[in-house]
Amino acid sequence: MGNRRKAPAWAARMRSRWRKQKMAWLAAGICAAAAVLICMPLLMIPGGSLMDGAEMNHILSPILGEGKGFAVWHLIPVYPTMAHFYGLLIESPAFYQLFWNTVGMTAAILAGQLVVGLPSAWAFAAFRFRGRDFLFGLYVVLMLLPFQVMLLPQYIVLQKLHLYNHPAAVILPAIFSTFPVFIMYRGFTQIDAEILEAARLDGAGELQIFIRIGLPLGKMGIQAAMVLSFLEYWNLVEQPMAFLEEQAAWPLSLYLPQIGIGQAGFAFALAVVVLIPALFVFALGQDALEEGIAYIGVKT
Amino acid sequence: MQMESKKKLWRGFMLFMAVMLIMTYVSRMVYVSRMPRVKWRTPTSASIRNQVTAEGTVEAVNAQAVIGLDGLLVEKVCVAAGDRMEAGTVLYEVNTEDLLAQLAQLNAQEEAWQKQEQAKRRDAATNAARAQEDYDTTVIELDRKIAEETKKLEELMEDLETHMFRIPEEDASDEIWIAWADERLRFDREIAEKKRMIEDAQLEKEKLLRQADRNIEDAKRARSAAEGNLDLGASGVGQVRERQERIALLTELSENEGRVAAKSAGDVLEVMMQSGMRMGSSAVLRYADDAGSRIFHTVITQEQKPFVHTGDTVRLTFPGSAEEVSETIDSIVQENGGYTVTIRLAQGVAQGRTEGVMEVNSTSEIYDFVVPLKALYNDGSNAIYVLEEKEGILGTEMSVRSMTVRLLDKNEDYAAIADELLSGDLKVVTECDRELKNGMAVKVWE
Amino acid sequence: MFLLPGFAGVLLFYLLPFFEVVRRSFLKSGNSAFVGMDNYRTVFENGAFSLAVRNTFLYMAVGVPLLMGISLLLSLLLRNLLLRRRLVSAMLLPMAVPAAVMVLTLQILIDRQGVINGVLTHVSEKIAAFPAFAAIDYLNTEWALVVVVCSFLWKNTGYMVILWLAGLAALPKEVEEAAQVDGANRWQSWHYIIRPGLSGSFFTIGMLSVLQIFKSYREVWMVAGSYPQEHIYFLQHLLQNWYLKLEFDRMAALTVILSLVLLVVCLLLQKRMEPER
Repeated sequence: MGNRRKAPAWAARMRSRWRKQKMAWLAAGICAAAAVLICMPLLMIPGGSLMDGAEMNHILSPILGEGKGFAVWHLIPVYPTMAHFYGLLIESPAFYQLFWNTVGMTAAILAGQLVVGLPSAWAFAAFRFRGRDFLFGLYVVLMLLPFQVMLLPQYIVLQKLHLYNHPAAVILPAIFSTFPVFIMYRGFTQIDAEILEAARLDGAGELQIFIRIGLPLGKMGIQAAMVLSFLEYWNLVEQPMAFLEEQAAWPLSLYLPQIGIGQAGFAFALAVVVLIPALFVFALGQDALEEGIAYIGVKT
Repeated sequence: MQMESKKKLWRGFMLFMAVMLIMTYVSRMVYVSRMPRVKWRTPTSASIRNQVTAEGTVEAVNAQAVIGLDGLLVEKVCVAAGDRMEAGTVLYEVNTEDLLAQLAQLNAQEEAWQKQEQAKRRDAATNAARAQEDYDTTVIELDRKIAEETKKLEELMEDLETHMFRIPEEDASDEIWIAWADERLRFDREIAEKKRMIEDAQLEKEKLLRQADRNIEDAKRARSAAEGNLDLGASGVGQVRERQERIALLTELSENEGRVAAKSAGDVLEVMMQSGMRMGSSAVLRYADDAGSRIFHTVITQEQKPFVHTGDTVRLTFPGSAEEVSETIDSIVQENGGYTVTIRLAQGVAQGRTEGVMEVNSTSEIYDFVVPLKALYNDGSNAIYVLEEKEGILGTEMSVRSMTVRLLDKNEDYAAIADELLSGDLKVVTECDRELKNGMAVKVWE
Repeated sequence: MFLLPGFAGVLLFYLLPFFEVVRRSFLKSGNSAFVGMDNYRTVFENGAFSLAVRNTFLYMAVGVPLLMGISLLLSLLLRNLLLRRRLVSAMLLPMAVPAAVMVLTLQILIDRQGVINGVLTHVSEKIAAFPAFAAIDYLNTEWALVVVVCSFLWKNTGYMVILWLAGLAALPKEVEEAAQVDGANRWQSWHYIIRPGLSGSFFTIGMLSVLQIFKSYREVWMVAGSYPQEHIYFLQHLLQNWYLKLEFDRMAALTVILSLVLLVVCLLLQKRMEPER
């Protein structure tokens, strides 16, 4: 510290500010690079969706087993064409069937999760009762278990309920998933307990407290849970594959794998269309994600 | 993010969903409108009838010929090849002057000959009478001679008898006995001689008689021959006959003013004479006699062959006439890449016709699976499309599946197919308004 | 009361099935004869089991710290940037991508004759300094694990960055600033102020990372099938293959083992990280 007194104070500040700015630029650079790196594979998608089949086959020929050398990729196709979109959006009614399947399924699941999970999360957050910790721990464990673990037993239960091969076979278990409970719980826990106490003292019923206080204050957590759920179920694969035999009930995510690399253009077009709702949801819920998820980590 | 951008986002999202909804219907409509529509039938058990129709020609088996009248001069030819001729149709005319000249010449010859014959006859009669006289004379002569000798013989026999009475006594001398024996021998000898002479004379008489008989016969024959115009030798006789026939012919011809007519009906095939030609003894006209037999020929192709067999009954019609006959096929011979069918026609059939149409109807055995021919298509091997239900993303749809089959038989409308997987309740696609591909979804034509 | 419907469903679809699984772990599939601990023994002795456990553990041991570390680093760098929002959104995108599409692009990139190999070969040919590069068949060599880890990082970094950012945002700013004024450098402020404050996030983010590791099975399966290269053969592969072969008894036993492990780990961590509740 003594050395610094030699130089004028403002110079020191300038230097540190300048260094800070340099650091800031460096940080920005690294982050931008990271972002670009992450996005690059994504950029293949729109380009690929507009790529003519012939061009696609040409550049992918080494992979398709027909050529020597290496595949290349044109980020911007040389001969762009709307043919894939046309084929998808106008000539494939199957796509729409699956699209609405997916929409319906996701909407039903999200709605159900709100109806069922929301009160559960509130219960965990607002009340104190015996075995709460254990139960919650159980919920967490259940959340973490990979689906394959539940595959067989769920199959048995669904069979017994005669739900096998019905969309409900996928929707019902998903509604009772403990993941949204987890997220929403976190959102609720940052509400001050005093507010609740005060309300109770004021004679408000539990339901009223829930509706008037819990919901508004926990909105961010709820939204975050919904967004994450949406992303999860919009692209759900394992459950429909295991429990839905009837192709007419499949979601879009099962349609995609059937399109092989030979029809890559079509697959990319499909990806673009599938991504659009996800992007919308993303955009709509982004601040909720940011702020809502915050509460997951904060309150320890 | 502020409220307005959030609202915009929501609106954008809703717009997107609305667009998707609209597109759902649009794509459905496009899909349906592009879907081929089909009609179907189940295969039936039936037999396939095939008809082979072929045009052919009618030919005459034996062309008949009209021989020219030797030596006559053709004045005008009245028919040409291809003409129809009936009995009485004038075929040609001969030069009448020449005809008459020839006739006159022949008549003169005939007259001369007749005179000759008469003279001959007279001579022969005379000869015959003479022969008879000779005969008679000879017979009388010989009879007298025989009678004479016989008498001499009788005398000798008497003498011998007498001699025998003079037989010496037993005790006569040897010379007497020897003289008597000699005498007896002499008598025997003379008697034998006499007998012999008589025999000879008789034989000769018979011979002479026979000879005379023959002479008489000959003379008689000559006479009758002369009377009957039978002169020496067959050829001589033939010649006369010919001449007389020719005379008759020419006479008749001259009565017809030189026109030669057809004797029977038929079609003129070939005319080998022309005006100004002197006919020889060869044919001047060839024709296909109506009463003669005809043959029908036609050529069928490889595809038609399986339905046409030797012995099949066919229907023959002839253009230009209402005639219709049923005949059987005589032979089918492979030549020049096709098959020549030959049918021998019955007598009197297809008179005057040179062209005909053959119709063969063959009915096959009963096949298990017969479908309309349009149900079949070919992309290297015969196949049909079968209509089935398919479960897919869009639910239950009708789709078509391609099925390779063996083609057993067909005609223009139907085909008989076979395959292990065929069954009577398969729905076979018979018509479609768009090109079909295996696995494609289709709609049934209402 | 609020809890009841939710809990009922959980009971039905998760807990009951789970108990069923526990029950089955003691029975033989097919004839349902009671065999005690036989199934467990079979599982432990199964070679595929040891392989799967080893791989899964390795994957987690590598993936989770990497993910948390990288995302933490990025979040630290990002937290004061103005463009933060945009960059974070960009990093979040991979989460929205459907698995099949990711798989498709992955195939194009990492195929033996794919784009990555192409670029690297091209570079090594053009620039003398680089060592000669032979095309690697990524999916069929040990590199497969690298591929899996990389795609895991790609997909989840953005997600974790957000979480870290949230955690960081909750730290009282004043303490930090005070420390900086006092001359503490970055390392010191990190060690004494930031890190302790993030311990709660640590737990959550760690849990979610593990969760994401399990979920990433989906992409691995899509790219490499049911019997992938041995380095990326995970526990889920084992479970799925047993399911398809109808060997439910082993599945049940393994499930129980897994769940017990998870339960124990969770409870321990929870106790440690959440002393208050």
